[in-house]
Amino acid sequence: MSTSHALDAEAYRKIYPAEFYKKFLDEKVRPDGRPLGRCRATSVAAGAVSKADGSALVKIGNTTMIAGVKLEIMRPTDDASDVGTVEVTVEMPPLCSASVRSGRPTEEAQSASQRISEVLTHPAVFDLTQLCIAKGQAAWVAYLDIFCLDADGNIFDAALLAAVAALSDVTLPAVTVLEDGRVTADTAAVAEAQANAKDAMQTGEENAKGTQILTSQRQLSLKCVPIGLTCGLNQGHLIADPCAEESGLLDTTITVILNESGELVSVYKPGGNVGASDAILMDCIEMSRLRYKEVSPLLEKVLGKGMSE
Amino acid sequence: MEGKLVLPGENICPISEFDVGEGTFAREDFVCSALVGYVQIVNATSAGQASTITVMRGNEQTCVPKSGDIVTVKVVKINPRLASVDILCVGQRVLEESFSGIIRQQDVRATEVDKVEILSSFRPGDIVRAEVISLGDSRSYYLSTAKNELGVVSAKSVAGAQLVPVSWQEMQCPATLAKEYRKVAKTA
Amino acid sequence: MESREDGREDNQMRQLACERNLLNRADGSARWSQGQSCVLAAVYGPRSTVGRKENPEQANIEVVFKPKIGFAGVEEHELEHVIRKTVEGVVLTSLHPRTGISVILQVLQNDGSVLACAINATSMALIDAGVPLKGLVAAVAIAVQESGGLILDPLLTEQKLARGMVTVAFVDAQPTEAGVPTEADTLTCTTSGLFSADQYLDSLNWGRTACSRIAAFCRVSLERYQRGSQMLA
Repeated sequence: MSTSHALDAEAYRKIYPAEFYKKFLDEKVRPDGRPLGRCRATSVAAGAVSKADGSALVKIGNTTMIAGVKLEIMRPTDDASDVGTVEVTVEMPPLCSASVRSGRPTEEAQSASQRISEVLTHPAVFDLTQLCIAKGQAAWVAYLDIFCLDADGNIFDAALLAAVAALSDVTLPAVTVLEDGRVTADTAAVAEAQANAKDAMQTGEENAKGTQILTSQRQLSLKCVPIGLTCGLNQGHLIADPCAEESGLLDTTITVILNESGELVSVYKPGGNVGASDAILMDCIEMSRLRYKEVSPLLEKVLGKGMSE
Repeated sequence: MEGKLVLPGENICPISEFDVGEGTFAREDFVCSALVGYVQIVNATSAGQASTITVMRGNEQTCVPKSGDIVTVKVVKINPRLASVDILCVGQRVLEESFSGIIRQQDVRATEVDKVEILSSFRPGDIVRAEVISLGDSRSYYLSTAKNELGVVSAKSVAGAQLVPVSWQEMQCPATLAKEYRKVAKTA
Repeated sequence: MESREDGREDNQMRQLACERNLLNRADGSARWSQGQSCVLAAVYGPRSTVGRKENPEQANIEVVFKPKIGFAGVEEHELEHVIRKTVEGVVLTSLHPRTGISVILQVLQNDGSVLACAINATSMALIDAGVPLKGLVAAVAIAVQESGGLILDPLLTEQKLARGMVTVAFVDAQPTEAGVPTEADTLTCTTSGLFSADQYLDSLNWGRTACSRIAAFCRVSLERYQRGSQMLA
């Protein structure tokens, strides 16, 4: 029986993860060869789900997120009669990672859902009045579902990018609000309703509730494009875009979301084992600016329109 | 026959010629493949054993610990009767997800098994080399460290420094020079 | 300089009030008020946990956040996540492995800066329960107004009109004179709304100063309580 006690690199990596990682950090590099400040290869593809009203597939390294938008009609509430809503849900199904079991959504997924929802429904980022069909009568609700297909760390950045791309990919169909309040996209039904209205006028019947309201087909657009970067802190080193293996070794994470004007949309540092000095926070903001320049051309290419001012 | 690509269920050879090996099973006097892979012949290592046929996939398949394997484990919990561990590596192969195992008080060493104190043999966080003695009960594999070359391979002291082995049952902290008791593995 | 609704200066906090040990079944409890915002925190632990949540190296922290009305939704789960990570950063979890520490928060009144209020209440409840801590956590909210100016500890109405809001928490381990800013690192930070990086840095500085004042208030309150209980003994 072999009595060799030397561990090969894979076994060392599994048994002493912190020591293994430290050896790379001391050389200012990471096990996958990236320097500390570099993010993984990113790709964005819009229209990935043909049946959805808007969709996008985003890959950051191995982390893969697919976002789809489904539109439905709702009656707006009285205090928000001229806006629609965007309902964001981030889901991590068991197929994305060995550590995810089916059942209750993970805290990570719920946190991501809430934060993306806050960003995308802020009036300075997305104008919800675009989703209005007829004030007080009908409005669109966009169900934005983001599924993780492969969780290799940093699902938030990928989820936000997928959400932004999917929402910008949505084309609202042309619909008509009929007199009786029904909303339909079917031109035959519209013609029938018009004919009925004419008959009603001829026989002297009272015209039904309202008048017809037509809306045209239009593309949704964001007022500004938020793109985020998540960094981790390990022994004082700032690491951009941590993968799953690295995420387990971090002392804390900092996520900065910027828009094209360089304004901060969000700075998120949830507790953690260490605090962050102002210098580190400024470094994160600077790295986010560089990340913005990297990623925004990908979005522009995919959505075919200029978004930076 | 060696190097041939086979599919699951495909007959390889009669069971009289070769024995069943990894990636194969026996069905009606034939050795059949259980995986998609290439056939390899493993010669008998000792007298009295037949050569075996194995089917190997290109990359590593998920391996499961079996009786007789030397495994590397990390101690998770201890109580007076046993030490609960996570199996990290089987031989040199790293497991994607750990299995759980236990080292019972009577399996820690070969002599004076009833006088063994788990607290003086293992502590949570220690890395231990052990042998799988059985598939165990419904929850964990049964492991044993009852050989000289099995036992604690690496441990941290109370002060946080890496302990250095002194004898088969003591390790010393280089920072505070305090000695701590462990069942130490004999290194070559 | 336009005055605020309640007549405060821009960098003035509301009246702070803290009552501890008000729940006799919890290991520790505290009710923290900042003006009209009030949050009650209860801490149970360290106590034994269910097998799956048991961590052999550290205590397992759990936070439950209940809003004033309605059920806890995704928004409350996100606040639980932030508060849990903040507590993990300040509790010496390795001293109590295989145990659980539960923090239960109930919003009694919401007049703005609720997250900051909740973190402060949690800190005092943890101290009341005798859980070992690295230091006192103090949290505060700063709103960035449309005009670009900052205001400290915003009311709910001020929050709704603001351009953006920053909630920060610092661990104030060293005693400091009130008013002298420490060089403390930011433990927790969440923001909403859009503003510039300069405005963000200014809010951090305001937050630091305000948190050292809150920590000084906590110290005085705790010392008085200790002295009072010693006199009774």
